[in-house]
Amino acid sequence: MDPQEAAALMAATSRQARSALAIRLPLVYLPWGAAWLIGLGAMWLSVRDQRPYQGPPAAAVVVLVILLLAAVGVTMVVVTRATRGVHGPSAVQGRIYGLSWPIGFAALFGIEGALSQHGASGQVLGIVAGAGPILVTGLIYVLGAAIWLDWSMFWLGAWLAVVAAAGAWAGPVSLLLIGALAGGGGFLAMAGFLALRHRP
Amino acid sequence: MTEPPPELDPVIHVPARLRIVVILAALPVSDSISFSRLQELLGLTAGNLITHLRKLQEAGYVTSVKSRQGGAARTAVSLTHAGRAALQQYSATLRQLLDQAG
Repeated sequence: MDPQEAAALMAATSRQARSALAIRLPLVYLPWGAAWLIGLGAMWLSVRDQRPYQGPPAAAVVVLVILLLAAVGVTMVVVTRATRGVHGPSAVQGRIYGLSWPIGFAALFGIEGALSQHGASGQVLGIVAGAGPILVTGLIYVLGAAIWLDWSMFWLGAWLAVVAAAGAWAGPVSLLLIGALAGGGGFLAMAGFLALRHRP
Repeated sequence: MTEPPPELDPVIHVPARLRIVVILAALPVSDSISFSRLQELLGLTAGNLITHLRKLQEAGYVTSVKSRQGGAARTAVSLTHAGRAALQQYSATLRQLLDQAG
């Protein structure tokens, strides 16, 4: 092995290792973007003609939940394929980050239950149920950005927080459309941006 | 008078071992990788990988820790600080040699 061959082997192996061990974020953003765009979009279609506002029918909620669960499944496959066999501090960081999702959403559903119990109107519940998940997701993305020093996660998370607040002001019906287009669209735009930038 | 050309670390300067060290260096510091995943990334036979890992271990560049989880033995391999430094040195020497060659 002469120095040229050694240098070429190092470069090729380093590329191989990076691509095998790195989590492909566009493959994570894509299913989330699609789930939000389609799920929240369908929910918006189901409530936009309601006079007065009554809240989304069960079918629309079920569609959104199924799409979100599918996104969770795709994320787990992408993450497991990259991190299989890797142990140590990074695995613990990943596990704690993973736990932030059920913790955040369980607390949010608890709060929604409390609001409903204490006489919150359908309008208010619609706003909390729509904007809450967008805000929780946004904050968890900002947390992920801090763990993995990834600015795409930071900007996506910050954007989702803005979408949640702006959407809440728009009311329970328009909030769903804003969440679908700006939230789901934000994921898809970031996936596209990263895919184009990393194209060899 | 010309200086003798710098020498490449013979422990690392073997294709299989160079690849092992580069892959381990791609992991975050103090992370380890399972023997089987490492074997899969390298495409080496288990026996071959064990031989090369032993050489790297004897030089103090790599540690491997055996653990038992639910009855199955698992070996986790990681790069030591000395190993990371040796790869940096190797890479610097390589650049020097390539520069000299012109």
